[in-house]
Parts: sequence; structure tokens; C-alpha cells
Amino acid sequence: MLFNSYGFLFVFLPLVLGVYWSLRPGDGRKWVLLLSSYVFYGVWSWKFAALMLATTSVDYFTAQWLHRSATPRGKRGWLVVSMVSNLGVLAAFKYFDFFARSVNAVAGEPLVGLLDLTLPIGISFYTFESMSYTIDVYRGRVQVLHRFLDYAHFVTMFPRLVAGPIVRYIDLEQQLKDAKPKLEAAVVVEALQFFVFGLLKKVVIADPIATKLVDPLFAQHGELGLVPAWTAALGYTAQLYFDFSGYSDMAMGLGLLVGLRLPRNFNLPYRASSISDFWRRWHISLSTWLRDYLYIPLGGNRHGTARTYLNLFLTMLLGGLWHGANWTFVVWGALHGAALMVDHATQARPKLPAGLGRLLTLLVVVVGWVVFRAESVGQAWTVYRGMLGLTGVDAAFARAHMPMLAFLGVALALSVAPDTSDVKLPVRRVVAVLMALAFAIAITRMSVPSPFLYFQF
Amino acid sequence: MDPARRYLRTFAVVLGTALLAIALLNWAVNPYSYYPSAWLRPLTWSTRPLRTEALSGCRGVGALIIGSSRSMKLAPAQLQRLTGLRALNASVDSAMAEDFLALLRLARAGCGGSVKEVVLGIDLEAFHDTQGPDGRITGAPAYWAQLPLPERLRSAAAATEKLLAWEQTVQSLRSLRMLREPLPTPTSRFDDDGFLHYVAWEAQKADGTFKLDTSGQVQAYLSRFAGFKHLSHRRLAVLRTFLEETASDGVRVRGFVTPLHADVLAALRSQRGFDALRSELNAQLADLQREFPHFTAFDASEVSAYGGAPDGFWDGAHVDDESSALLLDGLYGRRGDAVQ
Repeated sequence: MLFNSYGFLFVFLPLVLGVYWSLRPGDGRKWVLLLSSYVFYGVWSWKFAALMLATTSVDYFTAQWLHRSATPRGKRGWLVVSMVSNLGVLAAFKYFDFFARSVNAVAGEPLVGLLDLTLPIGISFYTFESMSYTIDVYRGRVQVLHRFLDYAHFVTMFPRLVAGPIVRYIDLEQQLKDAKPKLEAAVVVEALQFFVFGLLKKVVIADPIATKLVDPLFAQHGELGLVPAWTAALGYTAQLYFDFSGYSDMAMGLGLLVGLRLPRNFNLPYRASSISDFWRRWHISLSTWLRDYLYIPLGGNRHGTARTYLNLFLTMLLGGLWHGANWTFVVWGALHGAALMVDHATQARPKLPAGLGRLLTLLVVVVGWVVFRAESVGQAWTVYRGMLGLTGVDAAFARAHMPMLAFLGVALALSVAPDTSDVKLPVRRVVAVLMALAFAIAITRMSVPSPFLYFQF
Repeated sequence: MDPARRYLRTFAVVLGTALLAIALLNWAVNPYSYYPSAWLRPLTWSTRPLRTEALSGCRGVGALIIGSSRSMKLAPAQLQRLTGLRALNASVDSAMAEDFLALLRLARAGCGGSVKEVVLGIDLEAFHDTQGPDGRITGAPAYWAQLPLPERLRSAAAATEKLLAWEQTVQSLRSLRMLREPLPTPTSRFDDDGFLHYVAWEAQKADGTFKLDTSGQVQAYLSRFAGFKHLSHRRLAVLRTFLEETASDGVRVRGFVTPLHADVLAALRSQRGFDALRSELNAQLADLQREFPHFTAFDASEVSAYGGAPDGFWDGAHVDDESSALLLDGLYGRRGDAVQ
């Protein structure tokens, strides 16, 4: 079910919230959240809902057994079981065919058969959440959850199930214990602001840029001139930010409506002064997950300069692969890994003027988004050739698309303006009227189904 | 009262009023003929009510062309020459699998069992797995009544959702603005046998000024295929019902996968999964051919399949008259049913 669908907005959400808040804090609410999340997910596929139940069960039981193990070796063994099962599911559904195709391409013959499995939506998100729970139980950072309901309702809660933020149990532990008896009006006001702003970002900004500029340009067969190539790159830069941060805003709003404050996932990433700074601002829940569960366990910066660089590069390479099984994501991860290495190598040197630093960072990010969006490395190269001016200028494109280019300019300006989390609107009637009208406009724009970009990961 | 409560009450009242006003406007103006309401003249031409009317008195029609707008250029006159049967083109805009069945059932009721041949133009996206039925179906109640109950409910839900759609709201306002203006000259019209004429384009072709532009359809088809990952099992089941009903009536069905211009195909191929979808459809059609001896199918997605000219189109999706003639010839043995 999509947040930006009439079924979700007018049927599912009112029904779930109505039942949820009519109950006292406790198991009743957890059951409502758990069952509604399975309905929310099962609308896409009941088979995948069953898979989610299976992986949830495996992690619940391995965490139990890990907790009960008396020896470090036993604990480590159960942790390995959890990791192998989670990564095994990811490998089978997401990476096996990529591996098989790559091997077959190198061999020039079909050596490895394909599984041809459909990728379950949101699998990368809930798998990472599950893994963080068992790792944190292993590290003694969180207490093991003894009841299946407590664990399952945390892993599956619908506001952030399919595209994050990647919430760790440790982030919500206290909030889940201190459940509010009733929903306060002031919290609903805040939740509405998050939800409406998020929906506006998606359906009023990201979707038109996608359908009018980005998708047709990336679908164009053949060369792109300088102007259309930069339009495609900058268009996707804006589209991805407003699509994903819009989803995250909506998730935060929905979280508030079920009494939970989810962590912030974006903090003006296009204002970043360096690539390291960018990763402190973009998809924060993923970058901190990668830092805590990959980069630091790999050794972080504790084993000398060369090893630090290698760890940075590997972390970003695997972070790229997390997004999808395609060489485009490998190249994207490698690009960011290399940029982080350069960033670390030059940290001791005098800093660039702030504006120049931001511009250079944005340039690296935009260049990266091209290969991230492209269907293949070859297609990305076509766009890069255009961006370098190797295939002409095509100024006529600008003349023919002036209104949309102006719209894109406004969108890019908005992408560096204060974000939803930074905006505190006064609680006044005039604001309520404007928000309601904006919401009504956004609702009319929901008529064309449009999945969020990060659903594919 | 608590300011937050006052805020929420105002928000709810304004939002409810705005949505109700938009829904009422769209219901009353009904620019796309989604609803039975006919208070104002529709802005667009709706083919489902037209075809319902044509099929209500089709006694004596022996050959029927069913499909989407991409099959509207198949000439009933040519089909009549090929089969010796009186022919009618009953294709409707954006036909999905459920439309095939509705049209067949209207013909069964209206033609009194005279139909012996059906030419079925199958668009790949007629089996879209995430796109619902066309909301315009509910604007033609007799047509809507031919659908299986789940499809009827889905189309009613689709039309209800459209009450709040941005595009329809814009067109409703446009309709109101145009109330005082004379009706614009239609860009297309049907002959009595359902054959489509693109009035403006045909005039341009006659005076040599026609210029093929595929860009509009490239964009339209990219958005039409958005979210299309697998063939819909539900819609494949509807096609099966279609074949069961034609088999029981002794009607021969010649299907073909409708062509697209190479530019549109290239754009679709640049998206993940298009070729897989096409292969999946061909495999399904091959299975159905084996199961239903009265059914043959022919993949005419690419012009080379029927010997058409690469630019034998009016735009990126609608074949011109010469290509349509080649397609029909192909279906009736000139190029053989063996093409799969």
C-alpha cells in the first residue's frame, strides 16, 4: 500500500488510528500495529508478508538463544545464524541473479542458472533493522525481547516498514515502553505538518520533475546534448531528494500518529560542505547503520591510514550494493568511497572557502546520481558525455522546456531551504486553512499511482 | 479552546469542504464521461458509450474487431473482403483485458449469434498488474454491466477515485470556461462500421504536410508502463473467459500483439523488464493457442513482423492505414499464422 494512495489515506489510516487510540497502551495496541502492518505489506504480496514473518521469527528466536547462551562462543554462533539467515535471504532475492549474470557474461555462456525471484519490497530495510537488533543484543546494548509480539510489532510497524528510516530497536526502546495513553492535539498538528509537507514534496515536486524531465531524458535513445544531459542530472538530483525525503517526512508524521518519534533521516544534504558532511545529512539512518555495523567492525580508523581508507571504500562499495544488484550501484558506491578517501586525505590541509566546498560536494553528488539513476553504466556514460559537452549543446531543449526548467530551478532552490524538521509553523487558524488547501491539492495529485523511488531497494 | 484543537477543527472543515467541492465539480461537469451524469457536454469523446450503442443493433455482423485505439485503424471493409462476413470495428480507447470481454458480451447480446470471426488487438499493457480498470467504463452503464463483478467493483472504485483527480479537475474547469465557446472541430471521427479517421492528420497527409512525431507517445507509454512488473493473473483469467465464451459460440479468434514505433519500443526497452513482459505475454498466448484451437496469436509488436514501414504510424503508437492493411493481411494468411 502506498502512503500516497486513496485507500491508505481514506480507509486504512483512519481505521487503524481509530482502533489503535481507542485501546489502552499495551498488547492490544501492539496487536493492532502488528496486524495492520501485515495488511499494509500484504497488499503488495501475501507471499512476501509470509517471508517477512519467517525472517522475523528467525531473528526473534536466534536473539532468544543468543541471550540464553552461557558461552561467548555460543553467543557468537547464534549471531552468525542470524546474520547468515538475513544476508542469505538478501543474497537469494537480491544478489544471486546479479552474480549469476555477471559470471555468465564473463564466461560467455550460461554457466549459472538464474533464480528469477521478484525482489520483496522493503526487504533491505527490514533486514537491516532485524540485523541491528540481534547485533545489539549480542553486544549487550539492548535487552532481549522475550515476547514475540514485542519484537514483531517493532520490526514491522508500517510507518517506516518499506523505505525507512532504518530504525534500531535501541532508538525506540524507551518510547515503546512509555506509550502515551492518548493522542494529543499538538502532536497531531505536528504530524499533519510532516505528512502534508512530505506528500507535497512527492506529488507536487518530485513526480512532475520525474515524468516531465527525468524519465523521458533517461529513456531517450542516443546522445544527449549539454543542456538536456545537465537537466537530466540536476532533475534527478531534485527528484530523488524530494521523493525520498518526502517519504521520510510522511513516515515521521505517521510515526507521530502512532505515538512514536522516528529519527530524522535528512538534514539539508545539498548544503553539505564535504562528502563526509553529505553522509551525515543524507539518508542518515543508513549512513549511521553502515558506520556502526560495518565501518567500525571493519576496524574504522583504528588501524592506520591505509586501512582506514580501505574501510571507507569497502563500506561505501557495500553501501552502494545495498541499493541494488547492478553495476551502476557498484560504481556509485565506489565513487563515493573514493570521494570519502580524498576528503579524509585532505582534512589536514587548509579548508576550501565554504561556498566552493559546497559546490564541489554537490558536483560529486550530482555526478554520482547519474550512474545511480541509469539503467546501465553505458547509459550513464552517455549522460556524462553530454554533461561534458562532447555531443553538442542542444540549446533548443532549454527553449522548448522553459517552464519545466524554471520549475526545476525553484525545486533545486527549495532543496537547500530549511526542511520540514526545521520549520515550526505557528498553530493558527490561517495556517490550518493554508495547510488544508495544500493537502487538498496534494490529494488531487495522488490520482496517478507513483511508488517512491526507494521502494525498489 | 486549545489552539491545537481549534487548528485541527479548522483544518478538517476546510479540507472536507475543498474535497467535497472538487468531487461535486467533477461529477457534475464529468469531462471524461466517467459518470452517468450528463449535465454538461463532455470535453472528450468517449468510445465506450458509442460502441455500446453500435453493438446493441449489430444483427448480421459476422466479423468483429476488438482492441484499443491501436486497433481502430483496422478496416472493417478489408476484413469483410477477407472473410466474406459483414464486419464492424468495436475497439475502445485504452482497452484492457476486461474490455475485450465486455465488448464480446455486448456483441453476443446485440448481434444475435451472427459473429463468427473476431480479430483481437492485444496491447501488452492490457495485462497491467497494478493499473485498475478504466474509470470511463462506469460512464456507460450497459457496458459496465457486462463485466464480471470484481471488475465492476474495481472500475467503480477507479471512477470514484477520479472524482478527486487533478487532471479531471483541470479539465472540468476548462469545460466550464468553454461553455460559451463553440465546440472545437473534432480531430477524429468514426465511420458507421467503426473505422477511425484522424481528420486533421489525414488532411495533412493528403496535402503533404504531415510530419510524424513520436515524442508524445514515448512519454505517454513510459507512464503507461510505470509500475508494470508482471502480467496480471486476474486479467489473464479474463482473457481465458473470453476464449471460453468464443469457443462455446464457435467463434474463430485471431489475435495479434499490437505494434509500436521503434522510438517507443526503444524507450520502453530502456526501462527494466519490458522485454521480459513481452516474452511473458508471448508465452501465455502460446499456451492459450495450444489449449484453444479456435485461437491464434501473432506478435506484431515490431513492424518487421508484418512487413510494415518503420514510420508507418500516425504517431508513436497508432499505425497508419497501409500498415493496418498489411497487419490484417498477415492475420489472414498472407504472412501466415505461424509467426509467433
